[in-house]
Amino acid sequence: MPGDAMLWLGCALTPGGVTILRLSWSRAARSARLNTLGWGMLAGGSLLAGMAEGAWGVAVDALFAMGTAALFIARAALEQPRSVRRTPAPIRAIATGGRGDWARGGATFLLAGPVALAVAVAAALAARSLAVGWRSAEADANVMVLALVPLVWPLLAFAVLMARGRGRQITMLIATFAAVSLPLFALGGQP
Amino acid sequence: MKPLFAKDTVRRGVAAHSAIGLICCALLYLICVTGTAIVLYEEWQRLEQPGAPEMQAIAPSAVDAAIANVVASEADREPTTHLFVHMPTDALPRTTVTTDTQAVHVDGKGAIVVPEENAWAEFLLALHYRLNLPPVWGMTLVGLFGAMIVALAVSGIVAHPRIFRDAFRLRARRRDDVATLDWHNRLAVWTLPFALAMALTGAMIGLFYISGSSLAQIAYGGDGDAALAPVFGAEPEADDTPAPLPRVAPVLRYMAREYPAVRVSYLILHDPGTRGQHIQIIGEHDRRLIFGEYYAFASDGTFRGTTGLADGTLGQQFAASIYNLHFGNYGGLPVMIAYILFGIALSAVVATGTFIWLDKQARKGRPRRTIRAGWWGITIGVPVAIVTTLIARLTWGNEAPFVAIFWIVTLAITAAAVHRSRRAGARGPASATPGFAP
Repeated sequence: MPGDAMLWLGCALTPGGVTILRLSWSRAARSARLNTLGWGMLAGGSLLAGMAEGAWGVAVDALFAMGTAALFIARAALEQPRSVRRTPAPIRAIATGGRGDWARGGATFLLAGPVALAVAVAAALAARSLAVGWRSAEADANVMVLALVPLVWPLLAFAVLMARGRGRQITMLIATFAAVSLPLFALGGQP
Repeated sequence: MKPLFAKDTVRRGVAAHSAIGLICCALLYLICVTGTAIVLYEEWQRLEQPGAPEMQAIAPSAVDAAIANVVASEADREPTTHLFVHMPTDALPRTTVTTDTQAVHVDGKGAIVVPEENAWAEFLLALHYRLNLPPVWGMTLVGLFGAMIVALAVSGIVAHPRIFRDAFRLRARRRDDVATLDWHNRLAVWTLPFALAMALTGAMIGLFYISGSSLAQIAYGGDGDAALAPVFGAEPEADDTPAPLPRVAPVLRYMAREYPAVRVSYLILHDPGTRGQHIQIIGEHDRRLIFGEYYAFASDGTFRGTTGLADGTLGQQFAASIYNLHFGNYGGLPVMIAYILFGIALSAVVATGTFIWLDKQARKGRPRRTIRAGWWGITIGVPVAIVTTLIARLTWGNEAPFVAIFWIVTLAITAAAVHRSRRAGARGPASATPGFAP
């Protein structure tokens, strides 16, 4: 199939997939068949667009998916509500947090922010060391550092915020740092 | 349908989502709004200076003439270390020569016509890139906030147990807290690929001072250029011995002959007027996310090769794709319109996120009138301040103090909203807490 035809077929399949999902999720009962078809069309559309034009094709195809969804959302925004729920009356005022809350919040901020960021940088550098050790191209290994820091840090920060208790938060960060330090110290940061 | 996550996980997900959102909301909103406006960067430049000469193409000999004219105009000052020629493109059909000290538009024959005056577009770009702060601090801060969008996206998914079931449900006309919640969730879910692409690419650019300098420290003895050389290529050895300017017309003719499908967007003269001078071309490739490929030439016009941004390693192609993917300049007007719409949606997600938290606080008996009024002030103040700076540009001129105008207007609107809320609060609690009804 010529590249253009494959690209536009992909870009046509994707809105179709969104439409099928809209149909499926509006039903009272779950339809595994429609869900599979919808997700399959979305995946197939991306695949075709990617095969036709690489990353550019996937990016354009994703815009088609989001654009179609935006049309459905716009339509939903114009629909009259079936019922208007009264906003519940405010419950009694709860005493606001004291100095202890601020201290706890500050400590959590430090752990999820700067400390998690430092661990993320160490993780990215460790991944680079492993990549260089496995004879990855130097450019790929270096770009890996630039790409991993903004990915690993928010995930780590979220994991810290989800952990129950300060002990678990600190343990999680120390364990991650220890794990990523092994390849970093063993292999070093060779260019 | 079975929820994706357990109730307790959802509860903690909501708490994490709220905590991150509250810390980041104001600057994140500013970054999203300015990012939406800057999609039209080239168009703003054309609006700022409608009289600048425009052309679809320029003859190679005219580029030689333009370079000679600009260098001659700088005979009384320190020689420039780099000279950039912006070639006419679809988005900005102008030829502009930029040196270390000036930027001028030239006509189709290479004659200097008028200095470049795009201070407002540059202000807007700087506001988005670095919040008008010094580059290291500003870009890093913006990068940190970009990464937090990733955290917000992940925590938002965990906090939303019926993410698929409710994916198309938008009860916008209820005009209550549910409407605000629906706007936030629906726009966030369906712009998730866009938000993640913007956040990751923006954070990669912004966090470079942290990730790149860490890489340079650990592997290249602190040499940042050496860390980037495998990706974007290295600069040849400099030789400051004076030499005549090179002719670039043969280089442009070579590009047209050997790479007819490549559109030259920039011609860069490194160390012009020295023996170490060399020429670099940035060539745009159709239907690619990469900003272009570097084509290197010696000063005598000999082709030295490409860097590999178009066909090198995966890492090189990935790195070269970040800029276009972030700013939406890879598919002409349709992609730009889509980016503007999704940018507005992302700004609305940030704005409504804080209103949801305020609504929740009000339901708990803590109306937080001042914060709500302040948030209204920021939500309205940022776009109004941007429009005010644009009006200043069109009426006052290129020299208008855009940074001062922007921050004064934003803070004034926010202060006015808070003041109004306090006055209304003194009259009665009901009027002091207007509900957010989009």
